Amino acid sequence: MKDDMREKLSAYLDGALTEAERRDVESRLAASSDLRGELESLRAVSQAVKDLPKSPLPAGYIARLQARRARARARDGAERREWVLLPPAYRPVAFALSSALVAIVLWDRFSRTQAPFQMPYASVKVIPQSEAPVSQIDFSNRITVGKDVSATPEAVKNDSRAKASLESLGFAARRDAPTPRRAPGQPMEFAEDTSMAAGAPAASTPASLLAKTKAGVQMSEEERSRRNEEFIMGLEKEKRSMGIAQVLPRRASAAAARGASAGGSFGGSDMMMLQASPEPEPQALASNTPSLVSRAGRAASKRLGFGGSPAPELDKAELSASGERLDYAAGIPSDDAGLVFTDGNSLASSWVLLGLPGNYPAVDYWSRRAVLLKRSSTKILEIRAGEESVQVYFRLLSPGEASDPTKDRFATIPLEPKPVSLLLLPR
Amino acid sequence: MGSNPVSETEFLEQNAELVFNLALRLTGNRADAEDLSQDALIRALKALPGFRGESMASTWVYRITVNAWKNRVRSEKRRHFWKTVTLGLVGGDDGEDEVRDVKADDPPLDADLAKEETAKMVQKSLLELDEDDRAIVVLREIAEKSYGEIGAVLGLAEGTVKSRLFRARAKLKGLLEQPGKQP
Repeated sequence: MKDDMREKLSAYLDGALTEAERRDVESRLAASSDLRGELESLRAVSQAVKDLPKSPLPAGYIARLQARRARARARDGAERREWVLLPPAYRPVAFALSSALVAIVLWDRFSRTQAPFQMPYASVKVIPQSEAPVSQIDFSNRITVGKDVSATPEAVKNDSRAKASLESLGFAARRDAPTPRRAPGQPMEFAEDTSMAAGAPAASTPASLLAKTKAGVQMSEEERSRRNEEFIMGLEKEKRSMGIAQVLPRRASAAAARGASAGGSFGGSDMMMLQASPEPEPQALASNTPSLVSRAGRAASKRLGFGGSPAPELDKAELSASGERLDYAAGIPSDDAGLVFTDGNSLASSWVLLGLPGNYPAVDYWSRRAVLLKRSSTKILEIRAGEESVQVYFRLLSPGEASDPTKDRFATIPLEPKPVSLLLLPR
Repeated sequence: MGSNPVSETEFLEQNAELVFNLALRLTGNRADAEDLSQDALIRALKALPGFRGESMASTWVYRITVNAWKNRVRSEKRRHFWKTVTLGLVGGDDGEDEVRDVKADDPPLDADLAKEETAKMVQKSLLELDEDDRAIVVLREIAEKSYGEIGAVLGLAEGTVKSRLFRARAKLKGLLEQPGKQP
């Protein structure tokens, strides 16, 4: 039997044939029992499906439908509200772009500069040698002692040869700065130079200002400003009088800017703090107010043993007055002291506090630190700072002898991520 | 149907049961039938304000139902495909070789046990047809749609409906004539 005929039988069953087709099929059915059998089997199949029971709606069907519809509406509403902002497909892209933007802004904001301001002394620690952190690294071969500023630790590896070179050439010859030098034989100490008082602008500072400061009396803004200015000028004078060359940091202009702004402000706060404490030498202060700063620093340096001579007795009251933040009230050895440089601010403030000569060096102390330990037998003349190392120029002092420029040395201290203690001793 | 708007209640009264029965025969169980029919009805209700009455409402809602059902079957096939692939990759198989229709364990469809066996057998055979054949048979025998209406629901020409319906019936006949499947 052809499928075409069977298909017609199927359609005949459904009454879907044209009148002519129907008559044709019926005549064929009358003539063929096979065809009739086929029709019946198709009808049986059709009827079997038709006989599948009809089912009423399950109980609660409409209620469930309405509840589901309400949920779908709420969901559609939420989606439409979200779509107001952005199609969902674009959200990952938008998130990535906005994250990248935030990252770029943050990177731009924080990658160039360190925190612009830190409280002075926040990370300053003045320590005695005995308490200095002991470096686990032996730097004896890495510290270059020599004359040439450009000398590197690699260039000068043989200590004895470097020393011989230093001795033969004379360290003082390096200094060609047009700064006045002291006459040979004159001790290069923080000795009081009374000549500075004469003609110095700070000489006109009224003693009343000092008295006010000491007494803790409120001063006007102008008075404070004037006093601080005098302090700074006194410091500069003191530096010049000692014939100390300028510190030459690698980035001279940047350092100058920092020295002018940060150094000034930190110096001011240092001075005020020192001034507020009982001064052990009121007479000297009164007689030489212009160099108050350096004298205050000198007082500190003497206490800490930086003067080159045995320090006077510690003034406990003064130490405790400033010891809250500086923590040297516990007692400082008479002849050794050190500095921990952890950043530029701490360096600047400790520079002033300890009466070190010159401007504090511009050092990028992001993470590197150096501990400078100074014996009373050495005097720091100058520090040149680089990004990888600090060069310290110092003079060896022999007790009872005149200061000898030929005993000037310098040491190149590699800055390390961990504290490094360095003893400035003859090698 | 004219352009008079149909209220939702009226629409549900006229169509909900038809749609449910259509879904019941397409899916083979009541749980899936309720889910599918409600899905289709919610879609229809959402579109009802825009329904212009160019076709019978039942034809329109049947089309929605059949399309929703086909989508489900397709996603079920995909899910099964990935399940099979995954199981094959990890070296195991759950023994399901063919795509099962969406089923759930249900109580018997009919209380009449005498007819129940026959109905079960017919329904099982229906589920063995592919989707197009099953849809065409169900629309013809259950929904009692004309060839023209079936064509409108499935998007087919009337002649195509005619030949496919014959083919589907022939397949179903073969399935029912298998041993143990006499209607």
